[in-house]
Amino acid sequence: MAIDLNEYNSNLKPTWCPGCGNFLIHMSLKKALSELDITPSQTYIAFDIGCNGNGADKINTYAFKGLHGRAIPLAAGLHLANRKFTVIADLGDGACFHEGLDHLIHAIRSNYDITILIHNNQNFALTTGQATLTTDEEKPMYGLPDSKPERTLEPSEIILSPNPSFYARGYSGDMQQLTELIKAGIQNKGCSVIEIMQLCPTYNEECTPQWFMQRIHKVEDSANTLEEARKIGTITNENINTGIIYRNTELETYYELQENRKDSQSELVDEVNQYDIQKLFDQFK
Amino acid sequence: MKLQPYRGGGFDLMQETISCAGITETPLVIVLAQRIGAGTGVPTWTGSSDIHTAVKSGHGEFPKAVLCVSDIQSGYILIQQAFNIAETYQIPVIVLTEKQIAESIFTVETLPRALQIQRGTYNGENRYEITNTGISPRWIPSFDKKPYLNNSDEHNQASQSTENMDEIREMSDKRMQKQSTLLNNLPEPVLYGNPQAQTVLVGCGSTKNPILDAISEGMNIAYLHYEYLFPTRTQTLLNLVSSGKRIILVENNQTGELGKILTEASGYQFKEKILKYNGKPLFLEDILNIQI
Ligand SMILES: Cc1ncc(C[n+]2csc(CCOP(=O)(O)OP(=O)(O)O)c2C)c(N)n1
Ligand code: SF4
Ligand SMILES: [Mg+2]
Repeated sequence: MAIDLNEYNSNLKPTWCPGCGNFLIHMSLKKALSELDITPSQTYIAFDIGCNGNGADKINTYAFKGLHGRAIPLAAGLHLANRKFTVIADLGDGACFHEGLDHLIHAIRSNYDITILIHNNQNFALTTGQATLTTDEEKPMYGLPDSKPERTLEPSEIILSPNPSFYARGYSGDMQQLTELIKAGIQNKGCSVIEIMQLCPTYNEECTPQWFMQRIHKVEDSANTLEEARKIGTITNENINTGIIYRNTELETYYELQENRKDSQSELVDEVNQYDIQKLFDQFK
Repeated sequence: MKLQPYRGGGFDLMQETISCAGITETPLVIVLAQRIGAGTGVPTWTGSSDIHTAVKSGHGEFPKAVLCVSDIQSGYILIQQAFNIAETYQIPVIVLTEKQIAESIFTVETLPRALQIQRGTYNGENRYEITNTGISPRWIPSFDKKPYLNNSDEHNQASQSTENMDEIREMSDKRMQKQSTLLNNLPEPVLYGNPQAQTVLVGCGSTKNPILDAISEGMNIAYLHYEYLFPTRTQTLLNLVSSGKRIILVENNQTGELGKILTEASGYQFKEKILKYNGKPLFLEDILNIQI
């Protein structure tokens, strides 16, 4: 029985611009949690700073709104403290691929059992539209009227190179597919990365819903090799593939690789206790 | 809650965390092992030149505590106190140690019983409820409890982000109230040696060790030792000053960092300072050479 979506809502109204993709991303996340029967008290979301993070107090779950670029390390810590929680890191393309790029790489290679939602609106939106590495090379941006001097990089290249256990791409305009992708990401054991192509009518006005609809193709089957995944994942002027792009079910999670935690039944958060260290002292006598 | 050991360079790099812990009221314990110098400094020689940086760390205004270890006993006690303070007051606590302490060998007969763990958690309606002590309800997230947001945006009692002028001021006051509550519960610094002696040395950290050695060699001095450095108790210091003692600040750094913190808290300006900053700790001879 799915949980009533209202249970995930706080009493505040979102402050996003009309037509912003964040509305449906948040709705998809809530629907995914609800359909998986994960209650607000079983969910821990680490929010970043940006338009995406402005949704932090609009959702009623355990949450931590920390610092710019730091949603992923917060999520990793939350997961390590208590594996029972469904842990989500929610962040923008700016946070993920600039200030916090190292965290993305290490979370994937460590294979923490968390789900990373990247709101890719192709700019630093909250700070009024500066260029990120996903911004189109020719596009004039705030402070860069002649466009950015740096090259654009493919998020799929960055996400695939540390060999993730799960990589999907969704689109903020397709709530049904996005909900399914978030559900699959949460259910995957390991670090699941979901890149969400996000509408930002204010600073990325060229990329309208029509623009996306002309380019988006849904892939049915995920790739089994990284080489194949790179082909599916690459975005061209004509084509953006969405769906589960790559899965690697062979990878063990960070926790499974901790020899000293192998047989532990309890969670670290429950292990704060008064331990007798007298035996340790006795060794020095 | 977390324990994170750092040296100065790493501490600088991670200071955003202290500020974030401050506003979100997340208990955090940081061990800052000092060595001499700015930048990469002199790897790896000793000094105590990160006191000021610890006390002033993090942008914005928020309460924190700084404790200062001097030997194995104080390390054992203070790290426990650090966790209890961090959790009770929901603040970042920085425990200062030094390369000299970390790499010295001490012998102890025994150590006292472990302190009772104080987690300071209790259930409530609002995570950032305004109270007289400034301390709000905080509960360990679990499935059967009410979820809440830890918010590094300025927020109201219900943790909703706010730009309301009254709410900003009230929440800032609530947080800072915790520093006053903590100060009331911290001990005064300990006075070692001869309380009747005319000369009083003031210090913290490893300087205690050669000074206590000098006292046991018969040197007629008193020594005021700071373990709980910030927030800062100043009554004992001010009593010594007003009774006309000769006060000498002794530090293992260039500018008298403890002295600056004490001056800020007490208004007292140190007139005599012994400052050693050549990478070596203070030795017994450095103390015995003081003309008293
Ligand atoms: C350390 C730090 N650097 C910069 C900022 C300013 N800042 C706030 S939001 C933001 C951009 C966010 O861009 P993105 O992560 O793409 O999220 P979006 O707003 O596009 O959703 C920046 C640079 C900050 N808050 N903290
Ligand atoms: S600026 Fe863009 S991302 Fe931010 S709220 Fe407006 S439409 Fe959404
Ligand atoms: Mg963005």
